[in-house]
Amino acid sequence: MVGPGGGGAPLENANPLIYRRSGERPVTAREEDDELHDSIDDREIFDILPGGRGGRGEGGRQAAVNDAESTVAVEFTPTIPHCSMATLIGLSIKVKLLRSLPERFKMDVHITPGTHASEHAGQVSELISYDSASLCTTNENFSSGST
Amino acid sequence: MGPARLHAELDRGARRRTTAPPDSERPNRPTANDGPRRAPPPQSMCEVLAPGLAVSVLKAIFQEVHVQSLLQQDRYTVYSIITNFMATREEELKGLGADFTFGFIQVMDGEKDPRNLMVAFQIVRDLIVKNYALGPFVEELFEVTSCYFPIDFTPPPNDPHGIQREDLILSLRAVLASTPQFAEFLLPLLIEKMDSDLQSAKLDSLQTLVFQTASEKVEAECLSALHALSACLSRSVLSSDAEDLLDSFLSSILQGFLFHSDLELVVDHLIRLTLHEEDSQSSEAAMEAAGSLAPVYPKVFSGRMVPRLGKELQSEREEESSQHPHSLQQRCLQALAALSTHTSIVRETVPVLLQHLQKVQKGSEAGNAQDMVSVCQSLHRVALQCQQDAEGCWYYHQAVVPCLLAMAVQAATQATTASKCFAGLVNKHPAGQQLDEILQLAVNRMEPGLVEGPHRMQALTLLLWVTKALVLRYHPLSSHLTDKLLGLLSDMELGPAAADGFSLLMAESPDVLHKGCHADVRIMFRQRFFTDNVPKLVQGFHGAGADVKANYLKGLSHVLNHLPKPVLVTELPTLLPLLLEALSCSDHVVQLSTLSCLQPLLLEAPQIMSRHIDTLVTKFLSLTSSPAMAVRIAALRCAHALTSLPTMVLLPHKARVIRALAKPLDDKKRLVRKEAVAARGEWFLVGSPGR
Repeated sequence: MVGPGGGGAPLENANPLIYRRSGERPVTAREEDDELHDSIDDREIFDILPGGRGGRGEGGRQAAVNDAESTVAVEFTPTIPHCSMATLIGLSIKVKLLRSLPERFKMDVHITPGTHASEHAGQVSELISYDSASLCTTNENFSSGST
Repeated sequence: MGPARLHAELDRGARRRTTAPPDSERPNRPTANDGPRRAPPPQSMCEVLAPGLAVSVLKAIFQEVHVQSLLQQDRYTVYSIITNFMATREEELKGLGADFTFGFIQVMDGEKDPRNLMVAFQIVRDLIVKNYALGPFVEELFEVTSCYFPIDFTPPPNDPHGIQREDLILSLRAVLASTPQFAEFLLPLLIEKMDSDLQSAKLDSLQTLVFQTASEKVEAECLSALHALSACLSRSVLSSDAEDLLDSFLSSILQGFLFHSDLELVVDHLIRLTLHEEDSQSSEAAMEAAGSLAPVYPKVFSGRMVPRLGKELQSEREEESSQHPHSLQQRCLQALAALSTHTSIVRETVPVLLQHLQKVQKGSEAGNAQDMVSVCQSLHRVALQCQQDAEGCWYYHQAVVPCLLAMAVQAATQATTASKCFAGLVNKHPAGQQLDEILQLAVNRMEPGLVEGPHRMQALTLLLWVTKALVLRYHPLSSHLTDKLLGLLSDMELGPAAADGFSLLMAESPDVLHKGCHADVRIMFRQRFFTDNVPKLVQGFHGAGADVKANYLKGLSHVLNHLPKPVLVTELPTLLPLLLEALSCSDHVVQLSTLSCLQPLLLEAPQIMSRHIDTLVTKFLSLTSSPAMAVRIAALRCAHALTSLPTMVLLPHKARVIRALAKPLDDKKRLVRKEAVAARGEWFLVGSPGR
């Protein structure tokens, strides 16, 4: 990443697309009814993610959730194509989802196609999937009670 | 412009001469600088000026001179010429008809200098008083003068001309009040300005109103002015310095009315407006007007308006056909209350209200609970109004209190309102023998009702409200009443309601007994109640049978819930075991109340709470699967708050909590899931570096 004052080198993305945060999700009367069932929706995923409180597409992220089929897919866009943090960001998202969603969900976290240099080689996405396997193990350890 | 153009035919000679006067006056100008009262310009005063020339001069001025673009002194000269001609050649000028008026309107339109305005106002006044033809220009003439109302002028310091704001005000007022023809324009203006935020604008409007010459035509306007006036004044009475203003103006207006029309006529007007006016705001304004006028002429109101309202109130039930019988009755009740601003009127209105109350109570029609509430509201208002006045207050208590009391114990659906009403009175009544007697009377009636019979619940409601009224003001009898309440906790029938009553005692009530309605509320009453009664609650809990234990816990959690947190923290070690027991209670209200009491304590008293970590974790986790959403949310918040305890205390429980919190992540309610996500996320971080 190139910061300001980095030896006069030009910034790679001097003017990144910044998304406005939307406010706290308003509570509806339906949600306060003890009897009714609220299914998990896209907005709820955004509220879970770090720096959350977003609407669809905030912070260069997209999420699609299907409560009935217990699947969730999150797609994120690194600020610059050579972003070295892409793997870390992907893993953070994955961990947060694992901790915050019911165990029945199958999760898929990947980089938006065409936005990262090493993505075509599949390195980053592979890393995320690989690491999340070990993350799942950690999580299961908690579930089985052996820390 | 049109009429002036019609007279534009001026012969050349006259035109030449018309330009002459200002020129020829130039030598006199040094005197103009000395002040407004300078020597008059000679030529226009000239006795020998040939007939017709004055008219030609004026026509030329109106036609050829754009007066407002002249300098102040020259404008002053123009006004002087007009003044002089009006003094010496009135007949000739009147020959011009309304064109003279119109011409002058154009001359003065836009004038800003106070010296000139003084003269201009005098000219307008002369136009009116000396019967110059105003023709179709009445409104224009009004506009060109009323635009200065209310006068906004502050004389510069060291002003050599000596014109004061007051001079301009008086001068303008003389114009505006000079003719009934202005009334139709003036009154709306006054009403509007009376609503102004500026005290001076209000005052000026009122004074101008008083000086306005009333005529037959404007009587209706006058009345609406009166309503607006009283409404506006009763608003400003909130600041006490305006009260004198109200009194003096109401009396002077009334005196005005006594000259012009009959006071009784005014009262009849007010009655009609009160009862039959379509617009409810006007109707209310009329009531307020009546209320404001009543103390000045109480006899007329108690003799005319009260009997009439009483009659309407009684006859109303028979008029089933009328369209809004209910609102008519409501209005009567409201008006009776609004009117009760003088002791002698209170003596008339209260019996009417009480009579109606008893009638409604006996009646069996639907909706009479609502009627009952209306009457009680009216009585409440009367009570508020006669607080200032010892005699009225005394009478009110003599007449109303026993009656309300009887009702509070008897009536079913109205018990709460009547109890509140009574509590409000008891809270504010000055301490002394009379209060003690009233309270004794109440207790004597209440206690048998509490023991047995069909009205136990109503008696409890009354007990609760009276207790609240007395607890708030630290009355000695309050401890007797709270003991009574504590005793009821072990009652199978009333126990749960008595326990909920502790919430009523401690919470701020939205409609009565709060600071906003000037209740006598001591700031430390909650602490005092806590110190006096919590030991008794705890003792009662330990001695109680299993089936009523929950009542004590509920009462306790209500008291603790309303207590300031610092007080609670110091008392915590003794109370905590009891609170933990309350968590096991199956009542959702107890659970919720206890959880919301514990949550801040976890943050504020971590050391004490740490000692009970095992119990807390177990209870909170089990409550996260409560059937009540509110309990689940509160339990998850508490589980979240646990993370602020020391890490060493938490670590042994980390795995268990994280595992247990996986379940509420899949709760059917989103609001519960949200709390679960937050709590679980925080527990994952327990023991991690950098936290």
